Amino acid sequence: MTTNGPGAGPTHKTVEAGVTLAIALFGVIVIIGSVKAGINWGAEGPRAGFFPFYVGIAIVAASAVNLWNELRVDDKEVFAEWSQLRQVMSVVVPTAIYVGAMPFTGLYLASMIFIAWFMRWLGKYSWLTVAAVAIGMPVVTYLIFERWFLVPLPKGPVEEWLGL
Amino acid sequence: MDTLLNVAHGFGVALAPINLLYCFIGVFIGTLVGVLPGIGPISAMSLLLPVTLSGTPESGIIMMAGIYYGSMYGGSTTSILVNIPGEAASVVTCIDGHEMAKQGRAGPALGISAFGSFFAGTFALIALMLVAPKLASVAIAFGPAEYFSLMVLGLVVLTFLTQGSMAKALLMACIGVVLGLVGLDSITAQPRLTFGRLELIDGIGLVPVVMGLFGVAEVLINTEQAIRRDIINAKITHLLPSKQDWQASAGPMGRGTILGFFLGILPGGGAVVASFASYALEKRLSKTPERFGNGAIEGVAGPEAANNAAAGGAFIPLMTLGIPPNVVMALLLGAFVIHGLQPGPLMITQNAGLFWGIVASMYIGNLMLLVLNLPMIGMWVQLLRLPYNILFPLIILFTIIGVYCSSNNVFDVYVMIAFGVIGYFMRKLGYEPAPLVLAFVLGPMLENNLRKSLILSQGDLSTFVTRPISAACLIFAVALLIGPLLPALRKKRELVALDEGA
Repeated sequence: MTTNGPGAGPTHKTVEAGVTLAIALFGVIVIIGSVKAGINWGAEGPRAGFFPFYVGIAIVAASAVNLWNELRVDDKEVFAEWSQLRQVMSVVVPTAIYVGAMPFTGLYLASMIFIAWFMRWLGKYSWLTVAAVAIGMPVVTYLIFERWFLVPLPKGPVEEWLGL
Repeated sequence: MDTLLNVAHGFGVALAPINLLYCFIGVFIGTLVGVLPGIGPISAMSLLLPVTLSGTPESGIIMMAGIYYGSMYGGSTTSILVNIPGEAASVVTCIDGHEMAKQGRAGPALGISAFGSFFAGTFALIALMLVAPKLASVAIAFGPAEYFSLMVLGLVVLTFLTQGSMAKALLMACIGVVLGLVGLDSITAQPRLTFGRLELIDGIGLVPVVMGLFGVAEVLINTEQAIRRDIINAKITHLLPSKQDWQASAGPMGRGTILGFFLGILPGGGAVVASFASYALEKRLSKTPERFGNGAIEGVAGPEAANNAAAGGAFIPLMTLGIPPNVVMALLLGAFVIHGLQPGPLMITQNAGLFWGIVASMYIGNLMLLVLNLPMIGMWVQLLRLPYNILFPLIILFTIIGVYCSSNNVFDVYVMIAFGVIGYFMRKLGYEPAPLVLAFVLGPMLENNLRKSLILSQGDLSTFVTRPISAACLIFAVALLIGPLLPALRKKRELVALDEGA
């Protein structure tokens, strides 16, 4: 089911099994962390790892049951088409870059580029509309949050240069 | 008499100009997010959580509550006019509401949903006044064992009422509990599950988790599928329902209100379940069930009343026990905690002005919605034409600002994006985010009460079954866990189980 024709995509079963394994792994991490914190009875009653330890065991056990159920059913259904996944990735990847760059460039510059990218490449708007929204929104944000509510937002070299 | 005096005092608080302004901002933003798909009351409330810090606790909580019922209202507007439920509680309103709009009866549909909501809101308010102080006086006697069992019951009811596999919902609840426990242990002040990461010492924030699972994930789901928009363009006339409409709607409204109120009190019930249950009830009681789905006004009046009454009922467990029954109430609890207030049995007596002020402001908010929104429907409809390629980056921008404001920490923004991607996969695979978020909030309380009761009983687990209230809760919880394994009950659950989405 990994051909590239229309309607093709990773199967539901594969993705589901992967997610279940990831959850089980999470459960194992919780168990390890709880054991480190101490799962027995201490001077002040049950110790810090006591409760998460048992919940961790429940998570591992439940995901094992889930995995067993999933592998048993014969399900050829597609999780999402490749084209749909590409669409989703076209949002996730720029967003990741955007928040990754934020501590260095500041919120405002990163947002301008992000909004412009979104509107121009995905929305195919004219440059004029793109510029209006991409510059207008961060300015409005600045006025509302920093001036009205007095909440400081992450700033970078550009804002410093402008003296904001 | 005492109650009346308190209510008068509450209205005094709610009618203070600053609180009126916050109430208005709340219902306005609420209606806005209710109308816009891709952002719901849950994202909007977590977005504005940090803003509530700047005012008094009353103003902040009044605004948050306003967002909640404002969005219910906005959601029904889009359901009727565009056939897109702005938020999950108005999914049912689409069925008959949009059908009525197609037949040129959008006016009465909008009108009855507004009046139905108002009627239900009023009833819920009066019931809250009568029930909450009584329940609070009982709850004062609760010890940690009772609280533990009540919360267990709450989580089990929520997973029972959540759509899809109950095993998955329970798994989500377990994960939520664990995520809530990360950071400093509340009893020994020892860091745990942090794996040496300094950022995790304070724990994972509620705001980034909620924004990721509800805000960002929603955007990702929406980019995958193009939504068909079927906007009714005709001018909206006759907002006031006719005499026949009133006659047909009175019964459904009354029944929906009572049903919704009680479902609202139940944990995990909330507005979504109430609206579906009311629709099913009206269809069963109707002499002409075939009209349902073809523009029956009863199918709008009942569910709309039910979801508003449920919104009121949901305040009861929060205000009297300090246990939030759904995600929206969990966020309100967050707003209380920000201001150093702990909702619970003592709050009604110790903070009477706050409690009654919030209750009174809900009433005023409902009135505002009625007066303001009927003339503004045209504007809301225009907003629906906003293209997604502008809307989505803006939603992401706002979620980032909201998360950053709540902690001044870029790490939380990363957490949010991560939960956004996780939330996308969860939705696609039928794992509901609501149990996770509620368990995330209840997790620390659950653990705290468990350990306290074990310390009190010196490690004897039987303390949970020898105390009658605790035992009753646990027996009920076990019954709900075993119940779905029996085929007859499984069918019933599928009928009532619904997702509580953004």
